[in-house]
Amino acid sequence: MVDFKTVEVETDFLILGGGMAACGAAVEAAYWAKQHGLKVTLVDKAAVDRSGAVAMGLSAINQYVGLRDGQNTMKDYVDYVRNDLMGVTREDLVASIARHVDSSVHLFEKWGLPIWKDEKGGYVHEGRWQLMINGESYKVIVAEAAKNAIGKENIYERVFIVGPIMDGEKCLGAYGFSTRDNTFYVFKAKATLVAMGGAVHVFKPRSSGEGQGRAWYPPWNAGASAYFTLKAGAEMTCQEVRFIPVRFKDAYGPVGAWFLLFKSRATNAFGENYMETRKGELDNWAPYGHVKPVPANLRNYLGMLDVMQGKGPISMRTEEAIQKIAAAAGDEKAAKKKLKELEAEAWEDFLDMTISQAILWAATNVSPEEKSSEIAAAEPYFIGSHSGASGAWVSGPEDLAPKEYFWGYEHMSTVKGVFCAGDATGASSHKFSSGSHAEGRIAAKAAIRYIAKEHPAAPTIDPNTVERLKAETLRPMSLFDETKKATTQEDVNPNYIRPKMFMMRLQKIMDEYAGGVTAQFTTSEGMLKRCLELLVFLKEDSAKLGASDLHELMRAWENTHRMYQAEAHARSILFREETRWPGYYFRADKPRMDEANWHCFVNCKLHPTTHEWEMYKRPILHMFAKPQEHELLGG
Amino acid sequence: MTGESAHPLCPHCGHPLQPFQLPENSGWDEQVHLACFNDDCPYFRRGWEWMFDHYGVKASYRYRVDPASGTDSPLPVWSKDAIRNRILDAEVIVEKPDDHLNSEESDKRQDATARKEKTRRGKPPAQSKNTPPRKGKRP
Repeated sequence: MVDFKTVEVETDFLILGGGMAACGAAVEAAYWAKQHGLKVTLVDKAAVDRSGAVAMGLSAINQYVGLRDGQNTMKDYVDYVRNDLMGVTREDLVASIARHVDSSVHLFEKWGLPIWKDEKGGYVHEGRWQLMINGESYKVIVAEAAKNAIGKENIYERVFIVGPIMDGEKCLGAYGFSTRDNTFYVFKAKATLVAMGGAVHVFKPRSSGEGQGRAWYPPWNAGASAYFTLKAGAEMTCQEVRFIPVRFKDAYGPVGAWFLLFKSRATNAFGENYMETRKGELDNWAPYGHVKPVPANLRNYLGMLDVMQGKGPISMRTEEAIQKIAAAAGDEKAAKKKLKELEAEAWEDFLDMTISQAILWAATNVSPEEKSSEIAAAEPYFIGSHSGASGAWVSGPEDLAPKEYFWGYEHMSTVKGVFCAGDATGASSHKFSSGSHAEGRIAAKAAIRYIAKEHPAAPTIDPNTVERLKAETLRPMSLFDETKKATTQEDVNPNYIRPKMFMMRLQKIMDEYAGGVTAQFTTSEGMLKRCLELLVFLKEDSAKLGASDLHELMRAWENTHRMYQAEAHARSILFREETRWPGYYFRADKPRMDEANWHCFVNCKLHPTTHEWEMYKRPILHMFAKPQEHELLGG
Repeated sequence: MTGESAHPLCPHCGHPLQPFQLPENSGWDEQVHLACFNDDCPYFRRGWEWMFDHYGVKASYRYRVDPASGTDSPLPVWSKDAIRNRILDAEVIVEKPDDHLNSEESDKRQDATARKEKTRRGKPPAQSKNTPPRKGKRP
């Protein structure tokens, strides 16, 4: 067996993750923990400065409610989220975040994030909920505040968390390993916050060959949150609600600015705008098909109908948008000047957020003022903070949640002392970066209150348990080390499977059977059952993962995490006998939405010892009165 | 929605506001806002230098009103021609905005909304405080 030293860290409150939610948690926890003499520790598998989805930067903050200026109300935001998720959302959680998100944004500004404001100090809005920012260093600014708050000595970077340490139903902390040196870590904590992001590359991406790995959501989000909460025995929700973004094809540059700022339209190969020609289809998804704005999955679906009928490719008419604006300039000289300005704006939008798109344009001789660019539906992602909804089922806050949704501490999972935030929490979509930060703050404050009130004992862990977890963690490296000489080619060995090959097996299963890109996002009962059969084989394969070094060890565990997310997803799609989110996935055998029977959450749990799955419905309870049809129609 | 052929005037230049079509996914319930498209509007003209000096961007903003709520906010533009292709006929009917657009009217709207929310739950919704945290104190 490979030789790793073991380091045990004792703390009171353990924050797992280094993204926006974790940084919000750090800032809030540091304050409350100090009052109670508690220790806070944060663990990130990378470096907090650029961890998580906001790594490269953003050009807008996508959740700002504007409560203090009276622009919008908490209910406005709840309505928006519920409509976009086709009725399936925890209104209490969305409201819990909506009432605090503005203060996170104000903090960002205080910390140095340039948010566009006019001379009177009014925020410049890209859309109703979106603020324009100069956001290349957004994450660095937020990370700095988090690091200063809890102190660098309490932050462990480059430590990969494998899973929870459980004693029956009790979570004692987490275990993992350094990605830089041979160290196995045990973190013992009285309360733990799971904020390790969503999951990408569970499905086969469109990218292939040397481009493989390119995704819209960060590829380093590999399902660690879902794995942790599943293994802890926590109830999960909305595991079927994946998200499929439609973005510029292959580099996934943002389309938001093109739709909102440049007022572009997207057309098929025949020059038809599917949002116009397919409008009638929205009637089939009433009442949600009639709301404004049209839910994201339905917008996707209308475009997909064109593609399935052979009317692709779908293109963003960048040249039309730019030429239209330039043509109004007057003479040729003015038009040329205008074109130069617009060109700069078009490229800069990407440089803030998706440099790869600018590179792809440059590499393919695309001048946006001359040539349109394809947009396409990406492969599915698990992203509860954005337009997906998958994550753990957590308690709402006492003053907002119906009693069925409250069990002691806001944003605590069904496992006592395990809190969740950001992508780790389900049924609370449209948080984005700012909302995730706010949720981290809310959850952290509740966690400190939990520790202060419940006085959980400092965890003690049996040394045999530590040794067992260590052996399990290092098994891929041990197996590789022991058997690599069995063949002359390290990648081809009957004793182990390399993580990359394992990932390809997983992605092939999910793509073909659970409604991936090549299946046009369509599946059925038969396909899902076959998917689950194949995942059984894959689970056996996972015991034979082989890793040549620390990096591969991380990959081995990331793909194990992905596999668990995959199974939760497939089981949930199978359980929900309807199609509610066409444009995200389509059940060919249950092609209609069934409000009478399926206006509910689909929840699941993985039993920690029997490893049996339980699937069940939970009612959707409204915090505000259930909206009437005319309210959904904006009347 | 009530019919009103005259639209309010820009408070910066006195130019009549013009209705324009919002993009599909902007998030607002209604599809039409009002804005001042007067290129000589001092608010618009000052905006160029303001945005470049403060944010290093070549953009400005126009005075814009959401007719449903009466609230105003800057509409970002990157040229004087931006969004002009979405201007609608002056006779387009929009929900009548507040004539005064003053803070008293805005306060009344907020109170009405807050009362509605309080009635629903029996408890007032918590509002996030807008003051940044002072050292040693929490909002």
